Amino acid sequence: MTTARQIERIFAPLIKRNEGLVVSSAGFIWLTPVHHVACRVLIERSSDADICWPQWALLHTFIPGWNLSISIGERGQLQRPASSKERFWRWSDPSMIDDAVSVIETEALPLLHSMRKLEAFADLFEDGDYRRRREWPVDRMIFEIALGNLDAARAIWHGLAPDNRENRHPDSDSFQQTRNKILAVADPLLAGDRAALATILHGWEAANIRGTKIEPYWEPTPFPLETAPG
Amino acid sequence: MSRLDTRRQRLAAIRSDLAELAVEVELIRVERVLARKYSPDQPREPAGQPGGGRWASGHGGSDGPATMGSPGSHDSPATEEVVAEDGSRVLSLRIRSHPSQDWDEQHTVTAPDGTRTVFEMSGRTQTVRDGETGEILSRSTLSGNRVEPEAFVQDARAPHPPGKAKLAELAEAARTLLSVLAGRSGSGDTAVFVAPASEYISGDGPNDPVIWVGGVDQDELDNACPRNGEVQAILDQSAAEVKAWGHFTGPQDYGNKVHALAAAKIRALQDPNLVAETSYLANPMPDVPYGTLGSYRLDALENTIPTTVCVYDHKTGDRGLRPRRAVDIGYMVKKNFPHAKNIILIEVRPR
Repeated sequence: MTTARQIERIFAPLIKRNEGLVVSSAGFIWLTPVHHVACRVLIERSSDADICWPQWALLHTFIPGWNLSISIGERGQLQRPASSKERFWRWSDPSMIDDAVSVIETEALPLLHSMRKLEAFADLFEDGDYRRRREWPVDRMIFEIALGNLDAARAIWHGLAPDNRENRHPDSDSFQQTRNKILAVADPLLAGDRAALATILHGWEAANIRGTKIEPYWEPTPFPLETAPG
Repeated sequence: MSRLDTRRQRLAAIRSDLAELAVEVELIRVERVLARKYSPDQPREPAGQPGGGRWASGHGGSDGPATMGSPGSHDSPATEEVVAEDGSRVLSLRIRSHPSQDWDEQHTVTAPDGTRTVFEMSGRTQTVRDGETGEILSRSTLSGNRVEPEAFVQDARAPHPPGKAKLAELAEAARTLLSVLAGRSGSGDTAVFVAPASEYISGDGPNDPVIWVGGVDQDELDNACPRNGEVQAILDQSAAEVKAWGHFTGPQDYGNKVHALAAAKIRALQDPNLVAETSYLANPMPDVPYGTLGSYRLDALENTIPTTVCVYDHKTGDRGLRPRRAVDIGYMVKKNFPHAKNIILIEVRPR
């Protein structure tokens, strides 16, 4: 099983050589300061004790109910360099750690730095490779609100509202979570009240981050919703 | 031995007795069904001839001749009983009303607690019944990569739609049947479990549950899950490589290494429509790292056809882990592919 001690052998040189990196929870190293996009590198275990999965991971911080300490979100697998004789990330391979540090520094960190703004993260959603995330309508609606695209958000809301007006499934966790998100933004969204919507989003983000190890590195900042014209 | 241990032993014995009794009752019921189809005056093939002693075709009682034979045989009928890893029993019967017709199948799944569910296959239409009352719980027809519900007469006294607990029992019985069918060799078909994706979100399902479990031929499977061949090949390669390498400590370690290597090969494709080793918690949240406390893991998911998700469950030994609950699998699929309309579950074994 990939252990915390093994992961530390990859994270330690990264933290030493790169400013702003923080280890928060098992397997994750975060870029700080933290705003609206959680930018992380993850060393994930596998069912083989000798194999691990280095990857980059991105997640927006303001969707209510998400556990940012363990949720992965959008991710990309990091591959061994072409020069490596081994195809997979095996702890038994003496060159694995150096390769992992190199690939994280040269590929993962630059990509993560480029995704720190919400607008850049939104562009990722438009990429066909990530269309699954686009298909989560409620979360997509919240994302559009955060970006200030209220017309797009209202279009999604109108599509969801008819099935969620009545509390048809009080025993369903997924239904309740979806319905609560829709109801929470209904009035300000339909009224175009950007200030009220911003308050809601800031509250959700704070609820996700406060009390976690990442809170000291979190900087509440305006959403594009608050700075976009109109 | 403590009183608690004694009580547990007695309960286990009672459950076992109930399960055996249920099987015996089922056999009696089948005998009565067959008796209605058989005519004792029906001519038999002459002794010494091929098929000697059997009912002669084209003759018989009001419903024509009915035969029972061995699974996997095209010519002879069958009874087979299998005990699954969790103690569930699956009694399978192959029956046909006329030699020129396809075999019909009936599978009775008896859960460890004695609950029985009966799956009756006629052509591509499957009827699922409550094993105690005979009430029809579901009737559907497999059509391509989806199941279409079929109308049936509902007992006015039965709760409609079935409650959540009954639906969960139905899904688990179907999952057990899938494992048993997948473990059989020789038929050439692949066992699949098909249901609309909405079945798995509590409260979001249709009024009538629709679940279908049975064998499909390779063409049908290729149409429904186009990359099944690729997933099979990856699993085969991974198993061969691990065997050739030889450094595993036992069946569990072998299985872990095959799973990991197969996942590595799939991940190396970097294809968002073929996903390997994703883990989820029960509550609605994005995926979590492998091994997260309380998480469930799926071996591979294919989303080639946008409305269909094929779930590949890798099985690397005769005695593997207990099958994941069908409702958990369906829930995880819906979280990863929220627009999925159909879910197809396939057990994949190295060849």
